[in-house]
Amino acid sequence: MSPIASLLDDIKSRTKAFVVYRSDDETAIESQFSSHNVSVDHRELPSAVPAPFLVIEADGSFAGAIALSELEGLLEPPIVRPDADDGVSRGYRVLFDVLDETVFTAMERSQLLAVSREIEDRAFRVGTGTLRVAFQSFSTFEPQVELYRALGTRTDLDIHIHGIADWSPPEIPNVTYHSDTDGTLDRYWILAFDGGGDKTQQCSLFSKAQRDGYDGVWTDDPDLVERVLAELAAAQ
Amino acid sequence: MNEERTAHDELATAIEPSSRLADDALYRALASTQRRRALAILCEETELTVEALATLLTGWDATETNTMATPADRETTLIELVHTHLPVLAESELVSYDAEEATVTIEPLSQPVIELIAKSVDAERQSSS
Repeated sequence: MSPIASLLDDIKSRTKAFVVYRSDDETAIESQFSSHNVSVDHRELPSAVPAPFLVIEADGSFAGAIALSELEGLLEPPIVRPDADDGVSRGYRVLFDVLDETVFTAMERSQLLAVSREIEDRAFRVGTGTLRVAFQSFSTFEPQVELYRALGTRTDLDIHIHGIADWSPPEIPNVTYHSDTDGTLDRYWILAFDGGGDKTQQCSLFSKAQRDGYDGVWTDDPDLVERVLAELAAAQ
Repeated sequence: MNEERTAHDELATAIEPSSRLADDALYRALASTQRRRALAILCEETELTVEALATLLTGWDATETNTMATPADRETTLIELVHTHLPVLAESELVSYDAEEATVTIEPLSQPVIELIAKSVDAERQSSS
């Protein structure tokens, strides 16, 4: 398996699980998280326990437990996030990671483009740093040349385009092309921006073409963004 | 443990089971919030892994503290179960505790004992609310 392919597997297996202990019908929390990158399960709450609660698991181990009433308050907009550097307990971190990581299981090409524009826009606004993109092949990049010409000429971004060389792209300042000769990136649509020194601006879209659309993740997780950047750099 | 104890146990099972209500070991076993809660849970679940019991007790705590229980909280609960509470409960023959399999099973309890456990847990809930 190529490093890129195993990275996707890795993302999928960074298992986070929510287990709702309740005695009544499905809770709003369960449907709220159904579109997120987390498996949501429920167990019967022994009647002796006074109130329902949620157990948060990460990588197979207990990360936290919180009363459902407390969780509902926490998730009511505006969501106030505990400061990540403030010694926040693991349970909160996993919870907010889950909220941040939305999975597009059946992503259409139009959604893929919309998320891509978001990331490019963020890179444009920051104006410095490294942006690596892989649009499967250079011919897929062709309709986006003008956008990348603007990114390359109007910012100090260091832009790298990866893909199968089935078309000769034009020279653009600050843009370097990397031809994927062994076809590793054939089915991948990936963007990763390192934030230009600002971790809060880091983001990545990592997706793989399936028979009917794409399967992927849009993440702000700095570790993940750095891994995507490193794998792309290594794939050239 | 010793002969006297065995004789006492035989006597205890031979006579009316509710006479356990006059058994000191029962009250020693019930002299802890965590043990009363563990018993109340086990009265319903019959058998649980020690891990599952620790998770339920940690969740129970979380419903009272209204904060996120941490992995350290659960670890403390687990350690106290293994080193203190389960041995006490097993000693008083309210549960059987298989340390190797890390499972705990409720022993057959008479209705008055089951009710006592439920009432003690309820009373605590009412006094805290």
